[in-house]
Amino acid sequence: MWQQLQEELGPEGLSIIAVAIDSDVDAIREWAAHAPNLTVLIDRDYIVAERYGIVNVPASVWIDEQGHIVRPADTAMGDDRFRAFAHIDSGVHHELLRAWVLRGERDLTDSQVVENMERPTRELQLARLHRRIAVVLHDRGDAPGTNTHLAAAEALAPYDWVIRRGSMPMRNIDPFGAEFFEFVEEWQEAGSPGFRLRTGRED
Amino acid sequence: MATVIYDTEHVDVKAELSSRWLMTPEAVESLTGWKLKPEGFCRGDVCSPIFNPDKVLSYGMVDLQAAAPLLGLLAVTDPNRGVAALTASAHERADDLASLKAPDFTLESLSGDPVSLHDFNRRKVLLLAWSSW
Repeated sequence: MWQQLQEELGPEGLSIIAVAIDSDVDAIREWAAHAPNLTVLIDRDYIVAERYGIVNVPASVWIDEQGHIVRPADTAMGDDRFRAFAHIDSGVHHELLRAWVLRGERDLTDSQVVENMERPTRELQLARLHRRIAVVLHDRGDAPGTNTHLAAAEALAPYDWVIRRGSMPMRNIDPFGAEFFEFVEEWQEAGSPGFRLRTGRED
Repeated sequence: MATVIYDTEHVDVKAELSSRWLMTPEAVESLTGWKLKPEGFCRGDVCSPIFNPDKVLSYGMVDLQAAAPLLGLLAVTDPNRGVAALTASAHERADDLASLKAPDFTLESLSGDPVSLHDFNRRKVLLLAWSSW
């Protein structure tokens, strides 16, 4: 769907930059093969996640020609394959995107953009730092060190999907397995914290 | 040899690693741009007084973790393993975001070429964050 949107809206001035918050180059390459018109970049150190307040994926941020954020980080599904699970109608965001690109229409004012941003906490920043250390230690083959820092990151930011679920491959945990579903339950019990806007939500 | 992960950069630094991560004021300045003066840590026109010198300084050395907040930063150090990570404090990040200016970044494409957000100046950009996990 993103490839289609890029084909449709590219000539109207839109560039989709697809940042993979990921280190699995093979998986990224496979995905990118289906989306040749997108700019696909690799963010192993979770820099974009941190700077844009991204706590879950997939997420979108809109940036205008002057380099201003006109829509904050929010859920953004390419299609409806996870609609039953996420309760998000992916089409709503796509329509808003078209309205912005084709007619310059914004659905949020600047102050609404600021209000709906996921504001970083000290705990979240610390969690991100522990995670970066874990990545370096993982590269060095220091499994106990990796696990110590990943555990610290998860304790500090238990509901940040980018940290909790993103770290599962490094701990050899199946991100689609039992531990993941336990995390989802925990997250739901905590009130499903995360993006404030949840454009297209159906619940 | 010790490594500080400062955003995406991995910087080799000289540090005294025991229970604390201590660096010379020169090494701290080289890493962060903040210079230790009698008034505190200074960068350009701004100085940050050291209100907790017993935590921040130790026989002329600087405790990176304790000094970080004075520099608008947050640090996690692992002196045993010789790795530390440094980034902007939550407050700084929140201020950056609230300014609505899109933070620039440079990341590698699949072909290994560096690509920056500022390369897309004058385009409307949909920044899409995704993952395989």
